[in-house]
Amino acid sequence: MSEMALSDVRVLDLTRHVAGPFCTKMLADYGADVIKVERPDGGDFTRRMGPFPDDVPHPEKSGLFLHLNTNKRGVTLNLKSATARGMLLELVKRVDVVVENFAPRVMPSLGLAYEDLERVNPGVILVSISNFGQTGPYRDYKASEIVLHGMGGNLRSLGLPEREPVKYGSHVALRQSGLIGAAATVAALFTREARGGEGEHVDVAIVETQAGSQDRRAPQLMTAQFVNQVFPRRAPGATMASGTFPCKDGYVNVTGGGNRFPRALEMLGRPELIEDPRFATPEARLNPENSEDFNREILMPWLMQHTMQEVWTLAQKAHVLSGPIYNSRALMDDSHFRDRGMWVDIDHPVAGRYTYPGRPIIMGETPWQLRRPAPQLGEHNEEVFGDALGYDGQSLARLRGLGVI
Amino acid sequence: MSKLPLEGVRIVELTHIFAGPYATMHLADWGADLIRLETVMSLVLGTRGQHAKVSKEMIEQSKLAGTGAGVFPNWDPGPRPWNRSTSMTSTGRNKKSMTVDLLRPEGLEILGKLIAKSDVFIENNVPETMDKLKITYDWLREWNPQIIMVRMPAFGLSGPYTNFRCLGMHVDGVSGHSYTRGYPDEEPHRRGETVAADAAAGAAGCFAVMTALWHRRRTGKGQLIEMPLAENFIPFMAESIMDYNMNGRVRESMGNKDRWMAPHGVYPCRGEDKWITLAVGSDEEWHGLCEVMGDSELAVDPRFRDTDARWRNQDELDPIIIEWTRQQDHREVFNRLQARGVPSGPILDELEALEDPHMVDRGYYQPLEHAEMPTIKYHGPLWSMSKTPNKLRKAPPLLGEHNPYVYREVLGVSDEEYDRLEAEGHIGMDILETLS
Repeated sequence: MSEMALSDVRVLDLTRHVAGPFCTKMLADYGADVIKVERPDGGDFTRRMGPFPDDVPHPEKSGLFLHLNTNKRGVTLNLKSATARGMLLELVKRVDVVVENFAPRVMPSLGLAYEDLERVNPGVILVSISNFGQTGPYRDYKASEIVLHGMGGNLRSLGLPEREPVKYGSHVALRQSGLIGAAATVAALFTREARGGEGEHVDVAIVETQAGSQDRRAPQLMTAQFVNQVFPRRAPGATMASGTFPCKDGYVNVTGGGNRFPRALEMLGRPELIEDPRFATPEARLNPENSEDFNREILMPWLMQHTMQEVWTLAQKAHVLSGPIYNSRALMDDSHFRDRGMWVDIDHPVAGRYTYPGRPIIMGETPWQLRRPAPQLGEHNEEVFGDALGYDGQSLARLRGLGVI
Repeated sequence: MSKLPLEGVRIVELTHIFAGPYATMHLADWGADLIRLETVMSLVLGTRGQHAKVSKEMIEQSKLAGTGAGVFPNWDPGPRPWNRSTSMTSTGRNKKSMTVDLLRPEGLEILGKLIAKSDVFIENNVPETMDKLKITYDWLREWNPQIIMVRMPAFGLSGPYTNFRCLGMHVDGVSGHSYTRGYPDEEPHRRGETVAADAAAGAAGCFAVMTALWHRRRTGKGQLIEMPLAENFIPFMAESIMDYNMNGRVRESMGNKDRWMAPHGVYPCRGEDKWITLAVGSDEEWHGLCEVMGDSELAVDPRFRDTDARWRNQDELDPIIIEWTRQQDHREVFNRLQARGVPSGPILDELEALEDPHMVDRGYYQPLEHAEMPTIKYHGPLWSMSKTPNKLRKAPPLLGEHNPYVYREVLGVSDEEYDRLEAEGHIGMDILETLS
């Protein structure tokens, strides 16, 4: 097994659901030793969320959980028990980083505020990922992906002008904040070193990761100030040679306006249209009515005669930006991703063998590696509490009986 | 209080538009000496706008469209529109700009000398562009054996799509995001585009650089990092992909619905285009909502008894809620809902967001003075550190603003040499085609 970039980093992972586990997945996938702590009664909620094989719910077979928790070890602790909190603090002494995504009031209420952790381990870095951050009037407000996307992010500009805004799919905003959390964790390793080994508390507010997001929210926050106006949801089809359109066997996205317009005409086999006053100048091409004319009369009929792959290839040949609208089947069937090694088959002792998305980043010297599948609930209790904290089989059995682990 | 995590790290970037410049924005925010490679030979499309010269009519058309190539401060492109572009405004703060013509051998030599004094080179071009420029990992290593190179093309350094050009929205399409989002009752071309892949790539690019630096600090080794936008974003779609691989099922869009919460979605409020989100995931939150609605009958209605029942009957439930939300102010009712523990939030437009009391209290939006633009507020760094306070330091750079710093201070170029490089079109602050 080759060297991994974060193999000297030990992480205690108190996170659950999506944002926190995606953060610690990145750390674990690139080498960190991550111990995931779950509650003994059912564990992480994503164990119940599925998808499940044959749609039969099983806590060890949730596709979401299995993907979010690769390369982590798993223990259980009931943090409402004082004994469990004592054990947790023993683990805190042995790690570099603690990551949590509780509501900000929770950790202090358990006696696990940054100051409490610092007391037992001055070097510990606490990374807190929360809805609104550790300070501010909304600190304790409740939220979810859609709430944070709407308040911080660009939800208002997604969808049709005549309808309600419509959110991202999946848990895109939460995963993005998890990625930011992973970057912040590594940043804190550097500042700790610069301070001679003294840790600090990192505050990742999901609402801020959305407000600063380059999914166009951040640029629009600034350009709104340029002209003192807000940006509408735009009607589809009103941008020159650009947008999502039906084609012969599905849907494609084409971007062929602006300076690319002559190339789009090339692709369409209609170079003579550059003489048409509706399309001749950059100014005319910005006019929404001219754009609608062009898309309806010229672009869409051509697209209906071509498949997704044909449009994509012809567009690229002409240097027009384009791409197909894939569903999961089309994506899994695409040989480009398959041949490049995008997918990885992972064996799990209970869930079985399935194909997962593999490495997001290819690091030449320190590649992504699958060291272990997602942990079963409490799978590493004996290893972690036994080896690291010296509990024997008998005392672990007692703790299990008491519901501590 | 300590210095920023990347202080002392020099990063050279050849990035464009959004994904690449966003990755390096984080790195500049957190202290790196971040130098953008730019050119005065012609306008490189995207980061500094679409046109070096912007006509009055272009501005008029942009006003009609409400957005586009002509959104400049006060609808005025000014004499140097490339210093006022949207992309540069949103990703350029804390960065430095140098100009050099990389298409000439002397330009490449200048880059090589800069690489010798740098730690990281990062770019997001299609691979054939870099091949044409002859900027490869091996070439960089000749100048600096410890260099870290990060490459962010859309589809990677190999395979049939390697040189396919695209923007974030196309990556959202290929990755499966576009298909699985939007109104379930509208076809995919009537849902509007998203560019979430750019945001994901920026965050991951920052993580990749920091992680490689951490490794190098321990081992002394640099490395080549390949981070294709699509392959970075595909794991964001894990639920759909795992469902397909487990059950052969192609997931369709759920719109604003969520299987674990009901009511869940976007609800209209008083006024034009005003909305609130609700995400009710427990009976306690449901009772809180009924209480704020002042509807005690709803609270005991058996159709809405528990989350499962509310999920099954949400098409009956939503109209009842909408009737109530239509009477409410989106920002005022949000505080009353949260006071009763109901997860909800106003959907904020850009100008509302800038005034949001919570963000103001946290000091998130920060004003910066700029030599050629009005002072506006910029979003802050994306996270905070208790012992490493961090504020935005400098507005986005003018094209070539830091030529004196890079050429004179970093590279030690003499005054005569500097003048020659300026006369020959390497050094400058104006796009040459606009001067003729």
